Amino acid sequence: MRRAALAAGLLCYATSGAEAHNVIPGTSGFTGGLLHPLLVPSHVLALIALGLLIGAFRRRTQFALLAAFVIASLASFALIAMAYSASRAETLILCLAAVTGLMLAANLALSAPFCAALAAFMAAAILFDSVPSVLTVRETALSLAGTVLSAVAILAATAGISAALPPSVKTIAVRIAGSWIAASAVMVLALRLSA
Amino acid sequence: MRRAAVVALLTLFTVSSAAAHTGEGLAGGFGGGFVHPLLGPDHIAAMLAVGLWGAFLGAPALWLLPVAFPLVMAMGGVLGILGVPLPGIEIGIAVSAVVLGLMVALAAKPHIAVAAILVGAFAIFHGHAHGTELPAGANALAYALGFVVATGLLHLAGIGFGLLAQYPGGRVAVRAAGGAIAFAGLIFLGRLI
Repeated sequence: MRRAALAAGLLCYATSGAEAHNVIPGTSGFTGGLLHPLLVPSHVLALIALGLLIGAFRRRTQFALLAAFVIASLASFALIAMAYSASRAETLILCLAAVTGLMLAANLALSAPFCAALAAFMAAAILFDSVPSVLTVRETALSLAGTVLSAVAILAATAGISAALPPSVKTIAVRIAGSWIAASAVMVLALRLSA
Repeated sequence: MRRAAVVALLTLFTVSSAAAHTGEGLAGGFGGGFVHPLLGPDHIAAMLAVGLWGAFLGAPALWLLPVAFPLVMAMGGVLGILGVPLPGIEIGIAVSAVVLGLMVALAAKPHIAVAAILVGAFAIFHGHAHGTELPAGANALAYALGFVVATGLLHLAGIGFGLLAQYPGGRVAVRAAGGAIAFAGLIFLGRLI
């Protein structure tokens, strides 16, 4: 009986709680949030696509677009704090990645306000899809702060690299990257919608 | 009772935390997708031929074909995912190697629209083949990105070699490579018929 109790105790020790939205089990809070956009494929793709789009603008407009992303992130955080949620946020991210990829592949000349709106939608979708499965407001706030910081870093890095490329290489490389992103996103969208 | 303790201890090694939407297997998803086109000689031959032909045709085909191919391939992939049947997928892929290889071997230079339509038509077959094997798991996007990137890199490899066509000796080598691809395509076709 004592051994059975020991076995049961060991089993209890081995099992851990369900972690619905921790990218790496064991990481949570700020670190978990920081890693989230880097390790979730749909987030990485959407952010790279948006970064490439931002990289086509002048430096001042690039900062304005990044600011739009951050402001939309803060607004989304306020909504999350008021217990709003979005169940299809990842599908929206894939849609936005596909549309952005297609626009990059087509080499469309887009206006800054349109890109700001796109950045705002993407920020909201990413934040709603990054809400951790923790119950404390502090943990959620830390995690989402990490997510925003990481997302802005990806956007800034991609836009910076894209802007630094020689114009002849940039046009072709960005179009090819856009077509790859759009193709991947479209197929996974079809997979999700057919499931 | 002792056995129960042993079983319990063994169970320790099999238990892990439940975690949806995780980054685990991300590399596996991408890797699985990346090697998928590289494991099919017919895919490799046709993708190299697309790049060779693009380089042979020069700008804008040089970059238009690698941009258009993944997008049209995705449409084929969507058909495969949705279960829309397309007859003769494998035959279509083998024929793509024959036709595109011949285009390079014969140094054919049709209008860019004709080249794009021809390459796009074959992209549907390649996409359908990839799409039907797309896993439904959490790493489907990593898998899709993996095979799209591998396909794109095969195009770029073809373009890289095809750029030798600007030199007299290189032109012969590129056309010979096209001939070899067409011949390989005939072998793939012969195995299917």
